[in-house]
Amino acid sequence: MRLLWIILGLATAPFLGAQPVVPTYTVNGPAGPWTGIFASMGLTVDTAPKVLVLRPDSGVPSDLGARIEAGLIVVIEANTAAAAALGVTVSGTVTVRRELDSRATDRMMVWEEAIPVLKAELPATATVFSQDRWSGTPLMAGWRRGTGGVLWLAAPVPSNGYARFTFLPQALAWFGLNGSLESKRTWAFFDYAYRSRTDPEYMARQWRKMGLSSIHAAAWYHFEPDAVRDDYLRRLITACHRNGILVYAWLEYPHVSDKFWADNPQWRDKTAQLTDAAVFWRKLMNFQNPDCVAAVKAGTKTLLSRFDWDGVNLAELYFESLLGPDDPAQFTPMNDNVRATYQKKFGYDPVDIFRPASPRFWKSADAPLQQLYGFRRDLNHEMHDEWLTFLAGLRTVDGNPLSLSMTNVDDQYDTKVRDYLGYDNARLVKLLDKIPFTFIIQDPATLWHLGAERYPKIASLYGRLIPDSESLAIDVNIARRQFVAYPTEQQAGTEVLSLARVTADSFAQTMYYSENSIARPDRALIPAASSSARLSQSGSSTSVETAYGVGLAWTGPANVNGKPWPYQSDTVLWLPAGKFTITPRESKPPLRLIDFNGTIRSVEEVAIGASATGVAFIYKSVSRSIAVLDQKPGAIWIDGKEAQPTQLPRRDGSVALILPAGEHWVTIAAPAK
Amino acid sequence: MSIPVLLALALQPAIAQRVMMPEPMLELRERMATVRPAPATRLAAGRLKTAAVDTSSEAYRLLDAAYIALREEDLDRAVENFEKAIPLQPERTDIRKDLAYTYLRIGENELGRRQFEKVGELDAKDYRSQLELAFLDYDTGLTGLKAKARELFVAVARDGDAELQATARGAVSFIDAETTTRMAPFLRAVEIDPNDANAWFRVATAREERNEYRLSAEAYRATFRVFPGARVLMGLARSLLASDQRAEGLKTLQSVVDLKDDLFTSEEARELLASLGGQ
Repeated sequence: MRLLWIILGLATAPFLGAQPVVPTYTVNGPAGPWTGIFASMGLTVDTAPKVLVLRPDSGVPSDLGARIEAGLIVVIEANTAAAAALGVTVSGTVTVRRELDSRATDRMMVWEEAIPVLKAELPATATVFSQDRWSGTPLMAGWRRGTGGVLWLAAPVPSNGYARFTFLPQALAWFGLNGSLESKRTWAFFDYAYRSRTDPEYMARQWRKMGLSSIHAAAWYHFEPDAVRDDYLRRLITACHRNGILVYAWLEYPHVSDKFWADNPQWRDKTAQLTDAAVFWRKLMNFQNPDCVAAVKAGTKTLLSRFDWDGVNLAELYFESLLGPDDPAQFTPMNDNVRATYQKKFGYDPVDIFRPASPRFWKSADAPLQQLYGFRRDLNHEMHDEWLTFLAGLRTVDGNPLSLSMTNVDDQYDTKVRDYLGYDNARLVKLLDKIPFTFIIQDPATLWHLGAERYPKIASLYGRLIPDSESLAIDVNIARRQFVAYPTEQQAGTEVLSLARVTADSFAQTMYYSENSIARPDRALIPAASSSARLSQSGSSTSVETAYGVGLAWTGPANVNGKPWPYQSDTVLWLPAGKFTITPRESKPPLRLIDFNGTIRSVEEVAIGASATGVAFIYKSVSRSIAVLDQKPGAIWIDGKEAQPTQLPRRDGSVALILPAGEHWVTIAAPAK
Repeated sequence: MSIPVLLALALQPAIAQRVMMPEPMLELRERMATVRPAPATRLAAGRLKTAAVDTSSEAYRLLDAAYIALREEDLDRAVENFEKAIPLQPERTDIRKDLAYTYLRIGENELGRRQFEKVGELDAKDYRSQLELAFLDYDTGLTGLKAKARELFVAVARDGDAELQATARGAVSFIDAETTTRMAPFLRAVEIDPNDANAWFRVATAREERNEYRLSAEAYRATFRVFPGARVLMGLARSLLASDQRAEGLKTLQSVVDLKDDLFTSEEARELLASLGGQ
């Protein structure tokens, strides 16, 4: 039947599509930090810019006022000559240490170095974005003039781009300066404990706008049935699916649940002090006890069948503690099963290694400790093998394969983790030979202060271990840092957007801990920062080259590589991996695929038989996929057979379809008129 | 491992400490959530009737828009209108509560916490709001606010109505049991080594969370003798102020302001000092 289809220029109301206005910038003087700031927003340098930065000591164009009136956005970076040219009076300085931003009053922003900033009398129409906490002096403010505008910065932007003016990209976005590309491939952890009061539908809509394609929801709160929590999770999963987001069960074994710990004291793991292994928030069970493992597997099966999960994330399946043998009160595993096995293999009790009176005490003899480290790594490898194999055998509630991922702290960059937490990622990745999963590398807390430059290094280290880049992901921790770092206790603003940009360039997949910790003003800018693609314009055509697929700001109908393109929302034209030329066209598609969670191979507008029209696409996904159509569809065929996938209607009349895992060819007819 | 590094680990979350909410507290809050009032969906007319506000006023227009937005499930628009209306009616706790609950619905817990804090300042007998604030204070994981949370739980357990009392008593019981368990190994550790700064700090924070301020001040002092960090001194200042040693507390607070090794804590101290009528 497919051969009979004819691609049509389907005539509906004429409407010429609009290509994006690609924001460009230039900097008078050395660009310094501005290159990174603009890159994190998806803006490109150009000699005929939309944005002009006047650095502190740079010259001021004589026709500045006229150019602003005509549409130029000018950033005055503590440039008194430029201020004077625009009629802004500067009257002395005030020393500032702390910035208060009206868009994020819940974030404390402290400048490591208190510096004098310019006090200026700004126009009455100026919007003050941030000010000195103590004197109220405006630090960052913007106002419109004609069709352009002015952004005032009372001090120079620091060399790293983010030590001052945390939410500078948002101030630029206030003028409508946004990147033309966006990515919606990001993953994030979700912890119910922080979100139990939130509205699931609201959150799901926000997450998709933020570019999330999956959330990994803490599953230990749901290991045992509970009416309140189960109801919340069901509503959350439905809301996510409706908004094109997949939901993974985030497991933190050997922590199972608080109730499992309370009900099964006989199966608790032990520390080197032979106390019950409640370490930090996790309550660790004995995963070497066959009865315990059988009970957890049975519970896992039930957990995964009670909810409409799309996948599972086996996270942090390791031993404790991060402080190593220095911290015997938290060093695991020392349960009876482990001690018996160890005793049999090496002829002594591993607890001896922690007894100061023992000849094997770790401070006086290194060999036993190294023997124990090796034993733990072997044990951990066996656990991962067993659990990944077990999970790979389970299915979604509608019989699809569950998508698997595994999260582990990096041990290649920070090698002491290998001994302290007891695993070896270089060995664990070999499990990919028999079980497909995504390996998510968690950057350890000890590296959080190094900034974005650590990610290309981590990518390089793991790229050698995992040749298939699609099987590798990075977990970016947006959390309170372990050491004092400025200007914010946890990353925000330019710093977060820079992380998003660098990880998008280094990894196929970025994950955040967590959806909750990303500052509200940053969420709208994450999709542009996460897009990694080349964009160019020539006349009325726009060219895009992308490795993983990308969205292009676009309104109205378009042709892609000369063919009508039905894969677009009202504001974004979506492209799969490849090279494309996009041009405006007049007629609207009869049915549009406005969002898709999965990898599209090809998509086209089609005629179905003599009178029907629609959209056809081929996709591939290890999990189920979600397609969102702009209207309720007519008939649906999957691999040539008529099918009735689950449909989730949305408030605006669009509809989400749940499609099967694997590689499939889907044809969807527009509704009959 | 050196003491400062150990202490740094104690002071900040490590990788496995990323999730910190104890489940018993979550359960108490869930139980309370089932009986709490839903955010109002009434129109502003209903809201403003008792206040005899001119229906043509800007406050009326904004509130009307906020409640219509709530009814239409447009939570961002509701928040925007509430935020504009509150400066025009700053004493109205009902509007602040509706904004607070809407903040919670959109996941802005800290902003919700601040509104409940304001409600508490305006009406100390609104025990349901005090209880909401106590849970939100506790959720922050910050020692100073966890201590304040227990004070609020104790107050609601004493003065609230029966249903609120039960929840508050449950929270106090949990906090007391949890801090006892958490503190026990560190109390043993300081007996063995009185210079164990890490253990003293753990004892100090647990004591403060239990509102045992004189004991927490002692433990912070013991920590400070070995590890003179800004956060240790800040804990000492809070403990002194809470145990009616105001003069010494203010002096200690000022010394935190002057420290340069942790400017966040220094600014926190400056903020507290300003709220107490200092600089």
